[in-house]
Amino acid sequence: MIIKLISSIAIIVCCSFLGFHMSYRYTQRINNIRDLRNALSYLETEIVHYSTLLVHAIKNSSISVMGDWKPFFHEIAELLEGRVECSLAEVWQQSLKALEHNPYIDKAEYEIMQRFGLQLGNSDKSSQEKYFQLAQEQLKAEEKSAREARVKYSRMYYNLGIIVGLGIAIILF
Amino acid sequence: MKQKMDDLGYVIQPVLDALPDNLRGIIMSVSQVVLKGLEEIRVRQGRPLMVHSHGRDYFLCRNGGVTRHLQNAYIVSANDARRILELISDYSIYAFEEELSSGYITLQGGYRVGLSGKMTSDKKGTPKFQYITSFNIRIAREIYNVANKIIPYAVKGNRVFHTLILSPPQMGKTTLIRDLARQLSNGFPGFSGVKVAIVDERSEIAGCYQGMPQNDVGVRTDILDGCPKATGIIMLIRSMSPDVIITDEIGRPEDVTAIEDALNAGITIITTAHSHGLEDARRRPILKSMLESNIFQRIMVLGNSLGTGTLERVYDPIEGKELLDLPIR
Repeated sequence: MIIKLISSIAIIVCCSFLGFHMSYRYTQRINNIRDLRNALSYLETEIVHYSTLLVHAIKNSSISVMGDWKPFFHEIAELLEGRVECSLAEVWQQSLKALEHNPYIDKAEYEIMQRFGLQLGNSDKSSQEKYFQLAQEQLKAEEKSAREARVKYSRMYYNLGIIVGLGIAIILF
Repeated sequence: MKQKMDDLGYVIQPVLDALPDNLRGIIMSVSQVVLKGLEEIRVRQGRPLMVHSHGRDYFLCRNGGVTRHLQNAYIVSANDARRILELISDYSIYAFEEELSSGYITLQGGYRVGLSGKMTSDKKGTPKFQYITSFNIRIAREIYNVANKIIPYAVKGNRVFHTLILSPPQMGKTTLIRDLARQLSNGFPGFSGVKVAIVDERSEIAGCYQGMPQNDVGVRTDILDGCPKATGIIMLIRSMSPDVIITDEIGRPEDVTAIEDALNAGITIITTAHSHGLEDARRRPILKSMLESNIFQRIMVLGNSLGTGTLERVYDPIEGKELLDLPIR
């Protein structure tokens, strides 16, 4: 009897945790997009207004950026500070790969950053400004769709986890 | 290889850092005789890698050997050109817009990389590069005490004269005024040193990298790097209270106005102009008006009668006499 009770509680907790995790993905994705937009905004200011060299601009941005994008900016700054025998685009893509399977970063943001990395640093200020604006607009659209998805699915997964856990526990009891 | 580079390597390290690994390997394998006289590294996309040394040019082979045969030379790839551009600009083309529109980038150490390729212009008509396919990496060397020959004519006691140096191209006038700036700034026996300011429009005198002079221009020297001469002179008069302002290659009407402002503020001006001599200078409207208004107290002419950088003549236009009997080098 006690074993059944403990098992049931364990099932409910696990299912609730799974539901919470699924729900959390939606919230965390929004946070990551917001952090990324802040980082790009910071980077844009450094590049367009202060003409800071890219290595220092990315390093400065890496200090202020939060969340799952922080290691990405940090890694690029470190790689560029040392001498690397590959182009910036290659360094960018290589560092980006670490985030390819991150559960809190969607393929859409990943691809925006992939495209953005091909243009970074290799043109004049006005062109750089346009690339930043384009990336910001695309990320803004992704943030909007991420918010809509959270409204739709976040609570659903959260409740579903608890209900499924309870359902399994009742059947087994 | 490392031992071979030790003598020269530290000198040209910023140049080596500006090259992709394959080209760097080739340059590092070049014989020390060629490296010691290295003046230029010429990188042209789709054409042989070349160095200019001891007044001659050489094609470079993949193993660093020099050759006169085109078929043995290393041919520069599009990827090499793209990598050089990334490396010399620190992956930041946007930060070098002004330099690029002037056709060069200054590296750490004051080395200059001249650029050429396909040009276009923006909405304001400013020229800008669409494709950069040729790089001329110039190995500049500072020559200390080269100004010794002109100092007796430019300085008397603690007084520095308004001086114009006339010289054809490639006669070492920039090297000369760099050393003059250093000596006036640091002082020398019988001269205690004064506050010197340099308006370095093309980053040639001080060779600034991120605002820091890479050439020794003296301890009392302030530099306005990349600033138009006329604007720079006015800014320095207002902000830095210099005793002497040094600038290179005057020739625009606004330069004259700025120089007159400096004179009115009691500041000594030392500058240069492209010219083959006093008569040649008098044929140019801007220089002519300056010469006629007796702005300068000393006019020096450089030439090559005894070799590059010979001081051919020294005039005192106010007294109307020549101060140098024979050319000196």
